[in-house]
Amino acid sequence: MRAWGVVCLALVSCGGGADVHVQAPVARYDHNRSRPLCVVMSDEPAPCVPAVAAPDVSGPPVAQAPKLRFGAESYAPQSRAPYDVQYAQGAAGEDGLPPAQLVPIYTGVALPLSAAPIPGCALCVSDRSDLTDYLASGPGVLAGVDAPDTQGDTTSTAAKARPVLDLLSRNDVTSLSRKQLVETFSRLGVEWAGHVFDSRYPAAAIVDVCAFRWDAFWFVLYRFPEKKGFSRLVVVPTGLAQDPVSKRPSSQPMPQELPTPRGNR
Amino acid sequence: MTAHDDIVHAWTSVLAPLHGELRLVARLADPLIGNDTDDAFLFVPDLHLVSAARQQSFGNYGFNHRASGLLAQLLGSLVRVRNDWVNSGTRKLVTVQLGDFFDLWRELGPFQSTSGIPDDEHGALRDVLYRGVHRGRPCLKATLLLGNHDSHSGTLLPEVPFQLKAFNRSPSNQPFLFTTHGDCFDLLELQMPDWLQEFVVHFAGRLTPSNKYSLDSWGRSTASINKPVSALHDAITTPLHALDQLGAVRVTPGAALPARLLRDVAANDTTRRFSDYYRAFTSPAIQGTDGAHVRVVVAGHTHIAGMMLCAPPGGRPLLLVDAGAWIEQCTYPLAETGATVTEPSAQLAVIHGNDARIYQVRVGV
Repeated sequence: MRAWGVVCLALVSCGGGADVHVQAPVARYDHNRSRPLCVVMSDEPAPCVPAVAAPDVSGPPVAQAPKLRFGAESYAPQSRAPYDVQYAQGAAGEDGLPPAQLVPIYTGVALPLSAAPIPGCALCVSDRSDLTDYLASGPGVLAGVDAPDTQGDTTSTAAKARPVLDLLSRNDVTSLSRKQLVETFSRLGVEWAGHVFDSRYPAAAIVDVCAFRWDAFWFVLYRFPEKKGFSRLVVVPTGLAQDPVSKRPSSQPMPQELPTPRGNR
Repeated sequence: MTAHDDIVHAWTSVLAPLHGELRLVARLADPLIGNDTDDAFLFVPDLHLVSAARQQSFGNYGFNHRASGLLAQLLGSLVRVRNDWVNSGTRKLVTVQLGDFFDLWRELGPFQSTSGIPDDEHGALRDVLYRGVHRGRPCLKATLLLGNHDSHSGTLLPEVPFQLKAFNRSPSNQPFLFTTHGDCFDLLELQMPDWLQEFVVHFAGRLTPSNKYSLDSWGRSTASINKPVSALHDAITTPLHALDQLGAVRVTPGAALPARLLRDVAANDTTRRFSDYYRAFTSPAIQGTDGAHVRVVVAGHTHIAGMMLCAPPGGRPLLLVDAGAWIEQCTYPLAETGATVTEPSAQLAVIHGNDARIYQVRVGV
């Protein structure tokens, strides 16, 4: 039994490095936040119907469909928006919380990473631009669902991240085997994770997963069954708290610290 | 009604039952601000919150208007304004808390952890600024900047989504606005490009040596240059700040206000905090960053509200807005009588269009 456990862990292992936890939806980056969603249904009135993929289905095209809005508030335990979920029979708990939130679990940003504009969406930005914006906000911001009202230095971040994002944008790179992928990204000096713990899906749903650290983020790459290469990306912040920096006052004054009328703010 | 009027109206509605009012302590209304958005920006300065238990160690010194929950009420009144604007597609209300939110230096002892802060301590403020979005409560979804008092032994309050620096979102991706806490020990050092690293250390040169530190030794250096806890107590013996202005006008929706209420600074002025920002934002290194078009810097840290402007003929203008604090006292003259008042610092700054303002909130007048 113990041996089986070791084998299972090895399936999600990239080496002997750190553990990476795919965090809460509001923390991890797993989708282009500027793109609205709609739900495709075929047996009842639907918010959207695919116009191209299933031309025999009647209804408005996707571009004209009502768009669903899932903000960070939709993921709160108290949330009843945009869907108010209740038990079909019986009462809810005494704490007043709804039994569930009906919110999307995103599969990850599609690889190769696209810099192409989103057709028919003037307010959308490309996957690469949105990811760059997320990285620029920094690792301490819970920006996985909503882009913050302010932005970080996107121009500097785009330049700094270009080597990594360029590789992720290449089909010949994302279709590499794990070994080749590790070799390719290792040329950029990235650190590889030991294990990836992803509570979104059972291990059996994933053929392979690998994670490397760039700056203060883990880039987690997924290979799913019947797909060639690594086809999805999730980015996870390391968190500011992991930086060993203290701003706390020291116990001893330094000679250069002369009293000032304004003191130490 | 302008966006400024909407905000003033919301706040005066809160203040009226408290016999309160808003006073204008600084303003610049001028196209040189360069704002190309219709968003409104609200800046909440240093708060230095501590728990009720810890507050007893500091007597009357601490977060102002704590008992009445005044700040939480004022911010709460803007949630509806924000939602109305969003629902009507008018504009966003962008809220930035400028750092030093919880004062973990004063709150926690050497062997205490951040988990020791009760969940309901300043709960209304935490909810309305950032926490409510995760609890199904009204929330401004503010950007919180990391201040020097926001960390304890290298650990931050885990629930706070700290950002190190922030620019406004611009349709042309040419932000006019840069915000930072403004302390010399800032974590900005770790991640900022050189042009900002230099000024972050430099502008506090009166307090610390002007040096740059390697990242490897930064934590150690920070510990060595920070003041001891005893010095913090020294600092609160003179908690009175004279705001640099001629006369504070009472603010009501639609009221006529002076267009310029600030201090002009020469481009070659090297004696003030301003000059280090100006040098950074006019250096060649600023190109290739989102700072290339910045004309307004909003910061906190000093607890002294005011604006400084450098607008040399033919040169690049830069406005520094120091949003003040909700700790310590301030003194300033009233416009109508010239009488000087001394009262708890309670400042808020707002920018909409090309109109930047700092208000002092008064109650019981």
